Amino acid sequence: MPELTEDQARALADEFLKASEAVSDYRFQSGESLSNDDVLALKSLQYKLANQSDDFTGVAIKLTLQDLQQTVAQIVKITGQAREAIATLNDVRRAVSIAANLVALGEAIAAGNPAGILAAVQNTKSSLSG
Amino acid sequence: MFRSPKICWLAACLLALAGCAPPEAVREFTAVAKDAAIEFPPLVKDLAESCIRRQLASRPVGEIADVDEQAGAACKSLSDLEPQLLATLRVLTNYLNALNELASDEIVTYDKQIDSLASNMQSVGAFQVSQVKAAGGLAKFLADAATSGYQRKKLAEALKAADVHIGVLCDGLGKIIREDYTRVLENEENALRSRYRDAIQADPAKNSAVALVLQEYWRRDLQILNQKRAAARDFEEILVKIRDGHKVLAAQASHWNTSEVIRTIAPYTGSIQSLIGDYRKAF
Repeated sequence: MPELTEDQARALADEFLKASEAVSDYRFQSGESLSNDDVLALKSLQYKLANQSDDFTGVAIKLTLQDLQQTVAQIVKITGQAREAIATLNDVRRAVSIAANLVALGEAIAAGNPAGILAAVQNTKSSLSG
Repeated sequence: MFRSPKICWLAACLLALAGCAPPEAVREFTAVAKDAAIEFPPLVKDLAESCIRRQLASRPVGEIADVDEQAGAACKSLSDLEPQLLATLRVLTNYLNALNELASDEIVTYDKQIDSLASNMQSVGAFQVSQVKAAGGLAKFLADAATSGYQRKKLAEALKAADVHIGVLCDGLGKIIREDYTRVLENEENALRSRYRDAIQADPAKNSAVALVLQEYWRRDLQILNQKRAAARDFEEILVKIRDGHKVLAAQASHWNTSEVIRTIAPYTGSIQSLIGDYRKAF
């Protein structure tokens, strides 16, 4: 059997749903003219047609998702590139922070300020580890 | 102020870069779009759950038995698809999230870092307050200008490269919701209607009080189904707005003019916010 397209699967799902609804309506419109066996047979038919509708819906969704695979792969790739750009910008932030603290350390050493040196060393250490 | 022509040229370039406003439009649009997309999984999960409810509604009226396993097995064709569907949805959410972070003001603003430099310089005691302020201000300006240019370039690249794919993804997911989820709900409604009709017919005394109670339950179930159908329409419309809003941003990506872009994107952002409010009534 040739494979279905997603449109064909959706059309079949629609038709099986309509058939299931039609069987249900027929069963209730016919009322007491139906025997118990007829009612049971129609109930079973309605249930099977409804199941087939959901099964074809499953096939349609599966085919749509298969069609989207390439698209999804491209978006994942672009998301990765955006994340790399974010990482680069965060690296720049960190570099600015380290440089800022190194400058302060240099100035503290040049000024011969022991308290300033201590604070600047601490700040530089935290920015390097952060 | 600037004696060297090179310094003048550099200052002019940096001023031009810094003059471009930050990508506020992208940030606002992606913030709303990602928040909306995060809300979609319950509806996606309801595809298989609706099938299970239909299975249970199709059981004989008087049956008292644990049939959950049987019902689950009959809905395998839909429940097996749930992980892939949710993963596909996550791809959209992750993309919008990354774009939102990339458009963030925080990653290109150096206020805290430079302020710490300024306070460090001051604590050393070698500089006057005015010198510290001037150095801090210049450092902020240079760092912001350089990185915001990089940020805009990367945002434009991502928007342009992803635009076609976002359109295809939103259309594909929209079709699943508009056609497939709606059909599954209609199937469930049909099974429920049959169940209530069977229950009324099964009452030999034709007690009108029983009929009224069943009618009330039927109306309540129908209302829930109608709310879900409305949510499905909202979901699909949100996907359309995400697709179209993204297209607008991608089209403007080469010539950012913040006020114009914000004006153009505002209706999309507003629509998504309003639609997600309606969608939440069912999920």
